Amino acid sequence: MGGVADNGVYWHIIASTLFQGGAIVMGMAIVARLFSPAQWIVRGVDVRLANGTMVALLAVWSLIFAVFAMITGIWMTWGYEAVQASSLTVNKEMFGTFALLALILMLVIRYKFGPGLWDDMALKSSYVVLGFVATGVAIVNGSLGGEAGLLGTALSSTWSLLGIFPSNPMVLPTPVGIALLVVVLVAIAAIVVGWMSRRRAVS
Amino acid sequence: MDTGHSDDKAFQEFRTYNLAFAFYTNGTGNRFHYVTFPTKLALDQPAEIRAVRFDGQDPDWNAVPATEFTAFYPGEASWQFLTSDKHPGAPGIRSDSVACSTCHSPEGLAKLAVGQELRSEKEAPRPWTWAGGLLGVLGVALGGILLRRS
Repeated sequence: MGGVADNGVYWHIIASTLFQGGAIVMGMAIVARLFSPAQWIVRGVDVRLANGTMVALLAVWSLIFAVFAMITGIWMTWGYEAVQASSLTVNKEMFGTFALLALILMLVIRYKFGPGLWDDMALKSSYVVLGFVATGVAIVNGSLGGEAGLLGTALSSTWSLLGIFPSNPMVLPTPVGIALLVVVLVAIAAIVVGWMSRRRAVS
Repeated sequence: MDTGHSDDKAFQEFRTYNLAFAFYTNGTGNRFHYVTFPTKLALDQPAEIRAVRFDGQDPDWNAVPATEFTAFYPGEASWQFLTSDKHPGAPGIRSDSVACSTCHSPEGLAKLAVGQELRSEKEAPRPWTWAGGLLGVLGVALGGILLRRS
């Protein structure tokens, strides 16, 4: 290969930087939307970030460039052991998958329920948590990318403080993983049971 | 370096020598020691370390500029690995046209070395982490959708 393929790392940096920038601004837009007053009109202009439309647009932006970042990342490292064997890369792939799923679900919720989701506490909470997951992953994956490129990361002191070595697998110990899974499944089951009983009560 | 011992390597004027340093410190021994990238020493010639002539009994060390090197833990890498397709710099190694320092910094190489040695640990399976993360994200979305007011 030659030319463009040899510069895969630059395409990945461009895509991932656009993803991270979009996701971080999306997190800021969510905070702004959460804390802005219900009626926030300045000189006749609604400045509540267009009723959360900014959040939705940035979620679309982040999803597009997250996909590009993943494709270019895999393309760049394909053929080397990094794709499947290096834990730093697998960490990125794992967190990136969580972020992709969170962004897709955000957009599904926004598409299905429209801007009215901000008026419903349950929908709003889910939407906000999913958005913060994507923002958090963007920050963490950016830091892991710096480590992967042996360039260092601005989060070095944070990783040190937390006792985390990003090159190692970010894996929950099996008992903790199983416990977490059980908690999540029980929570989902409780939600479903609560929803069904509420439906029965309504009908 | 000519003390009269048979192992001595006597440096000669106007010649250049390739050197690399190894440090056995912090209780390290055998292969668990630190090394530097190779550097050049010359007597009265331009080089990274340039030895100059002095007069008198002892040199004025304060007038001698210090040369700093970064020592790092090199780990182990076999020749087979270095010249295999798994090593991106293999073509340069095979043609003897590059040095380690062409592509690597001491800090980066140290991380790679440690990473290589922790490889078996690094490849630990993570199905519970995957399942927990994916179901957690799905659960958040499902909770919001099912618990909405209308």
